[in-house]
Order: sequence, then structure tokens, then C-alpha cells
Amino acid sequence: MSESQNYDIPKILDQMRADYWQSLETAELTEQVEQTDYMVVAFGQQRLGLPAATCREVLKLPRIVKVPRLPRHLPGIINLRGEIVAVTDLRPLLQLAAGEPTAAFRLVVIADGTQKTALLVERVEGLRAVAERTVEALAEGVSHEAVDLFRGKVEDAAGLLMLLDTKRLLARPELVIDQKGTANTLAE
Amino acid sequence: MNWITRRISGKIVVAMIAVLAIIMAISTVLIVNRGGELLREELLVKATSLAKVGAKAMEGVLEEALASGRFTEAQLFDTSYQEIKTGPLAGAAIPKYHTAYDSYIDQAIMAFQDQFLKSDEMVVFAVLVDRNGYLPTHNSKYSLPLTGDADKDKVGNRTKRMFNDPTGLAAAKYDGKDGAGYLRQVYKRDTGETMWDVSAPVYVKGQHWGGFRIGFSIGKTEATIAEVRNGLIFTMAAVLLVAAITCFLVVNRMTRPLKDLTLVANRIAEGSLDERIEVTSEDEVGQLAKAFNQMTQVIVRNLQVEIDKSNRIVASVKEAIQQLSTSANELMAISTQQASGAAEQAAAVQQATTTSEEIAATAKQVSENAGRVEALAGHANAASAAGQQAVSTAISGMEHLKGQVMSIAEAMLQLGENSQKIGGIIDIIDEISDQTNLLSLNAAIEAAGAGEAGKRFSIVANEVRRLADRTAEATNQVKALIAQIQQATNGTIMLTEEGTKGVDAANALVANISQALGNVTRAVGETTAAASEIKLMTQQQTTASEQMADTIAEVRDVATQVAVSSQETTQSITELTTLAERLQDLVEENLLDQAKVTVQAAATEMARVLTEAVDSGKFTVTEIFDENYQLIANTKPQKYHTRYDQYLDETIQTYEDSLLTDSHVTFAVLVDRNGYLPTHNSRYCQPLTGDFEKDKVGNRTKRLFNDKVGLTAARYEGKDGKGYLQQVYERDTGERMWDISAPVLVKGRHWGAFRIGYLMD
Repeated sequence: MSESQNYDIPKILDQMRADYWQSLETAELTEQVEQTDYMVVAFGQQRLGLPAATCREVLKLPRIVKVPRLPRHLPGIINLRGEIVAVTDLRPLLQLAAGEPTAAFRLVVIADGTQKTALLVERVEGLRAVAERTVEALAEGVSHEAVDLFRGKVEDAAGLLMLLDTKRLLARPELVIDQKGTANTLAE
Repeated sequence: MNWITRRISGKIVVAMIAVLAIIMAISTVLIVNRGGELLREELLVKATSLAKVGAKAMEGVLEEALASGRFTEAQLFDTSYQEIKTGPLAGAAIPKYHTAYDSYIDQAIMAFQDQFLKSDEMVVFAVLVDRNGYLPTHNSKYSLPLTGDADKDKVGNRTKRMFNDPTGLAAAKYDGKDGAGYLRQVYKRDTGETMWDVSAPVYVKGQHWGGFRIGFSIGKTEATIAEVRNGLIFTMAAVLLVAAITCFLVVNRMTRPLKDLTLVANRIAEGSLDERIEVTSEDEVGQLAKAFNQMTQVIVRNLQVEIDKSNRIVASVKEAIQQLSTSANELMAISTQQASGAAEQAAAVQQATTTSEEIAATAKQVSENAGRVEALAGHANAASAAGQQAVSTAISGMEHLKGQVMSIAEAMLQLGENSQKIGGIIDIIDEISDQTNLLSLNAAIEAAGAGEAGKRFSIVANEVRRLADRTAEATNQVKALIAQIQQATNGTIMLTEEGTKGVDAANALVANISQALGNVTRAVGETTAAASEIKLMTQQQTTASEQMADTIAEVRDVATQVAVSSQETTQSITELTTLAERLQDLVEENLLDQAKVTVQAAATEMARVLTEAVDSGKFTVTEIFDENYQLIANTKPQKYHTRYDQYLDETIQTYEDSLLTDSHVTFAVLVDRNGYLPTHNSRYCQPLTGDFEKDKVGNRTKRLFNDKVGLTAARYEGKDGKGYLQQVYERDTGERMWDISAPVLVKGRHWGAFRIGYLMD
């Protein structure tokens, strides 16, 4: 904002109209390639891609009810239209610095079958279509216990994007609280 | 000259001789002149007759030559003078001429002409000349052969020349028509001799041919006249001398009684009042002598009365003089005091004048200064008034500024509030865009879930999201702008607050200035008032000091008058003193005259007594001149005896004492030539007491008074011709004394003197 301080409103409007026309054209071109939609979220510089098929909705951070004796990656629960949904904080799993969430934080509700959780993210960039052939296998840089959560990684214009495998995430009992009962860790 | 003016006979004789001399001189001159004239007339008659005779003779000769046919008339009247170039007369320094007739004439008339010279030695020349002055034939004396010496020839050969000098030409041209028949001309020859030229005209056949000139030397005649004159003067002088001597003798004889009368009158005038004149004649001189005798008697009678009167007057005058002297001294003292007082007063007045002038000057200066201060204060007042005005303007300006700043601040606050409201609205918009973003995401998720059917929708959702992003971006910009605005307004508000404070401070300062200016104005007002007062007061002071100066000047004038009058007083006193001294002198002169007579009479008396003592055989001359002074025992100061002193005690003391009746006389004594006093006045011959001091005053006889005054008096022999000696000295008591002495002679020898002591004051 500081570098482009020109308030040339007619130019900006022109730019907006141009963008609009371009968006109409580019939508036709991406039809031929096999690709998957990902919801791009981020913690600081760390960008993660969530498969759009598992994403149910994005929420503003509601009041999180803290539940005693839960691990650090489970900050609490929320009431989503009468349904209790557990909130998962991925930062401890990804060994990222975890501070108190602010009002700008978002919750992304993911579901696979019956398994459902709300992922706490710092930022939501939006949906992105990723061509399957550009996806690379994840070699290193991720801790051993978290490595099976990722499908791979992809380089795009904004930088490195780590693609998360939400089905596996939801399948790990220690990470996800069953809708019917308590979390797997409680059963252990 | 003195001899004449002092004798009446001399005067008369001189006057008579003078009158006689004048008469004689006049008659001498008259006689001599008359005689001279007669002689000259006689001579003229002689000369004219000679000339006329000569002329007639010449006429005869010339007419005869014509008649005989020797010459024609033309030849005879020839005037074509031929200069002589040949012959013996050629080469003369002065040109000579021939005519037709001259050679003939030489033979015919030369002898005749020479006859004139021979007949009378006074005739120097006798010649014929024609009417042009041509001289054909001169006397043989002047026709000597030429010598060649020009000077000699000029005298020796004068024939055949043209004598046309004024005298010669006048004689030649004279034709006798004036009726006299001759022409006399008087001239001085080059030899200095006075000459007469007497000429008569020569006519031939009634025609004027020329003239006959005779030169007469009248030197001889003049000499004769002088001789007569000298004889006459000598005779007259002799007569005058005889007359003078006779006159003198006669006049002298006649004035002799007058001379005698004069001598007697002189003697009377010198004091011999008993002189008488013997009357021998009855003429005016005799009458004068008789009247003179009577006059002398009357004068002598009156004189005694006058002397007495004058003595009385002198006494009272003396008293008056003393009083006058005393008064004059007192007056002198007073006037001196007055003068010194006046001088002091003058000095004081001078000082006062100076002081008052200084005061006046100072007051004037102060007044001027005050005036200047007043003017300056006026300026200051105006300046401070202007300052007040400026301050008022500044204050109102400040108020205005403050109001403006305040309204700016209000506007800023308003702006801040408004921008905060805008921020609130922007928050709403933000929230809306945020939710829109969220909504678009969820829509995209839904579209993705719908598979191929949701593709189109996902595009819409994406567009919605992008618009929401844009909105967020725009609101962020607006927020930033608002933050800037708020920052700016906050800064402005702070600035306006500071400005307000500054204006307040300025206001306070201006108020201070205003107050200070007020103080200044007040002070200036006070200064002006004070200066005016000072000016007024110094003006009053100036007036007062001027009045004071006037008063002082008056005082000074008075003091000057006092000084002048005291000077005049001093002058008058000095004059008075001089007058008193002159009076004193007059009195003393009178006294001296008396004393002189007295002392001379006393000396004569003493001489008589001493001479008589010798003549009677009492003493020899040697004894009376005894100088062998014998000491008298037991006397101090020493006393002496001589051979004659006791005799004198008996004979002269009474006479000496008689002189003491005059109150001025303190002593009257005889002393010998060495100052020895044989017999004193009886008042100084008191019996000896043995008391030295008492005897020194009471007994002074038989002592040697050889002090300076005493010895001078004793030795005075009267050789200065005055007959008395006056010595003035001061006594040891301070009184002024006169010592008057006259010499005493015995047998023609100087014996001593008689001394009289006068006490003057």
C-alpha cells in the first residue's frame, strides 16, 4: 500500500474492468487439463493446500469453548448450527510457532464421511486449481510424524504450496475427535 | 645795554643821538643826490653840444664833397658794403667793408674826429656812422694796423665795421625828429665802465645820412660824486659825536639830584629809616625829595604799630597752625581709614558682582537646560503616545489572531471527529467486505462440491471474492488516509494550542509594554512639569540676580564715590598740611629775621664789652684771648676757669638773661672760638648739689661745648657774608631747636660767637 499510493481512481476502475474481462476468458482455457481444486490457507509464510472436495465451509473465528485435558492441537469446540465441531490447530503438528489466535483467524470446516473438524488457520487465500502433473513428492522438510499427512508439494506464482491429504488427517484418530464419542486419545 | 636801560640820562642821550643821526643821514642823502644830478646835467649839456658840433661839421664835409663833385649823391649814400679782401685791412677777425666814400673820408675827418678826444679826456670815441651803423672812419686810436692777434685787434682796430648792435643801430637810425636834437643812451661797456652814447643826426642835402656818435665815459663824474658824498658823511659823523658828548654831559648834570634821591631811597629800603635827603633845589626833584622825607617819617611811625600787630598775629597764627596740624593729622588718619574701608568695600562689591554674574550665568544655563528638557519630554510624550497607539493596534490584532486560531482549532477538532466517523463507516465496509470474502469462499466451496455444474458458479464466487479483496484494499487505503488526516489534525490542534498560548504570551507582553509605556508617559509628564517649573523658577532667579547685580552696581557706584571723595579729602588735607607748613615757614622766617637782628645786636654788644675791657686796661689782648683753660676741681662734666671768666660773670650775665624774656629763647650765651662758655644764663648757674644728673641740667656754666653744633657756632667767622649762622637740630628731648649765632670780633680778631637757642615747637 505504501509503494502504490496513487489514488488514480479511473485507472483502478479500468484495471478492475480489464480483470473482469480477462477472468471471463481464462475460465474457458483451463478446461482441458486434469486438475484438482485446493483451498489455500496459510500460517505466516507456510502455505497449505486443502483439497476443495473435503472443505465444507469457511467461518470467522467464533467463540471457542475450551475443553479440559485436551492436547495442544485441539484448542476447543464450537457450536456450528447446533452441531458440536472440534477445532484442530495444525501448528503444533507442523512444528510452527503457535500464538493466541486473533480475530482475523479463520476456521475451515473439513469433512470426510462422518469425520468432521474445523481447522484453525491464520489466513485463507482462496480456491486454486492445481494440475496433477505439477505435484511433486514431498522429500524432506517435514517431521516424520506429519509427513504422511501431505500428498506432495507444488510451486506456483506465490511460492511453495504444501498439499495436505485431509482424508488421512481425518483418519488419524489421535488428531480427530469422533463425532460420536470422545477423541481416540481418550480411549487409549 | 644795561648801562643805558638803568639810567634815565642814558635813555635821553641815546634818544637824542638817534634823532640827530636820522636827520643828518636824510640831509646827506638829499645833498649828495642833488649835487650828482647837477653834475650830470652839466655833463649832458657838454656832451650834446659836442655831438651837435660834430654832426654839423660832418654835414659840412659831406656836402662839400658833393658840391665839389668828388662824389655823386648815389656814391655818397652808397650802402653796397664791399668786404675788404685785400690790402692791410684784409683778414680781420670781424669783417670790414669798403664803400665808395670811405677812403676819402679817412683823410677828410680823422684829424677832426681826434680833436674831440684830445679836447676832453672823458670822450672815449667820436665817430661818424651811416644810417646802418657802418663806421667808415674811426679815431686814429682805434685804427692801428692789424697785428693778427684777434683780441688785440678787437680793441686796436675797430674802423670800417658794422656797429649794428642795439645801441649802435639806435644811434645810427636816430633822425632827430623827436625835437630833442640828440639821443643819449646809457650802457655798460665790456670793461665794466658806465658809458654814455650821445649821438646827433647828420643830414646831407636834407636827407638823413647817418649820425655822429660821441662815447662819454662818466666814471670820472661818478668818482667826483662819491668823493663829495664821503666828505659830507665824515663831517656829519663828527658833528654827531660832538652833539652826543654835549648832550650826555648836560643831561647827566641835570639828573644828578635824582640819582642821589634814588641812593637814599635804596638805603631806606635796606632799613636805614633815619636817613634824610638834603633838599637843594626847588624844582620837581627838590619837591620829590621833600615829599620822600615826609613819607619816610610816616612809614617809620606806622611800622612800629604794624610790627607789634604782626607779632600778635604771628602768635595766634602759630597757635592756629598747631591746631590745624593736629586736625589735619586726625583727618588724615580718618580719611586713610575711609580709603582703606572703601577699597575693601570695592573689593567685596567686585566679588559680589562676580558671584551674582556667575549666578545669573548659571541660572540662564539651567533655564536653557530646563527648556531643552521640556522640549525633549514633549518629544518623548509624543513618542510614547504613538507607542500606546501601536500597542493598542497590536492588542486588537492579537485578539483577532487568537480568534482565528481558535476557529482553526475548532475546525480541526470537527475534522478529527468526522474522520473518526468515516473510520467507523470504513470499519462497517470492511466488515461487509470481509463477510463478502467469506461468503465468496463458501460459495466457491459449494461450487467445487457441485462438480461440473458448479464451475460457472465458482467463477462468480471467485469474482465476488476478488471484489471483496479490492474493497478491503480500498478501505485500507481510506483508513491510512484517515490516520494521516487524524495525525495531521492532531498536530494542527497542538500547533493551534501552542499558537493560542503564544498569542496569550504576546498579549501579556504587549500588556506589559502598554503598562511600561503608560509609566513612561506618566514620567515624561512629570518631567515636563518639573522642567517647566525649573524654567520658571530659574527665570525668576535670573530676574532676581539681575536686580541684585543692579543693586551691587549702585553699591559699587556709592563706594567709588566714597573712594573718590576720600581721595579728595586726602588731597584737601595734604593741601591743608602744605598750607600749615607754609604758614609755619612764614612764621619761622619772621622769627629768623628777628633772631638774626637780635643775635647780631648781641654779638655787637659782646664785642663792645670785650673791647672795652681791653681798652680800659683790665686785660691785655693776650689775656682776653686766653685759651689756657684751668680745671675746676670736683666738677663733672669738667668745668674750667680762664683769666676773664669771672669778670664776664659780672658784666654780661644780666644782658644775656635779658634776652630770655622771649619765650622761644632757651639760652643766650657768649662762647669763645673753642666752644668755651665762660658765663651762662643765670637759670643754668644753680648752686652745685653734687647730684650729677641734677647738676647736668641746673649748672652748665664754664664748660667746653665742643659738640658738633657748638663747635660750628663757635668757629663761624661770618666769612660767607651773611653775618649769622643758623643750625637746626633735635634736642635729646625730641624738640626742634634753632641755634642762631653771630661772630664776635675783638680788635679785628675773631674771638668767638654769641649763640641763641630757640625752641621751635
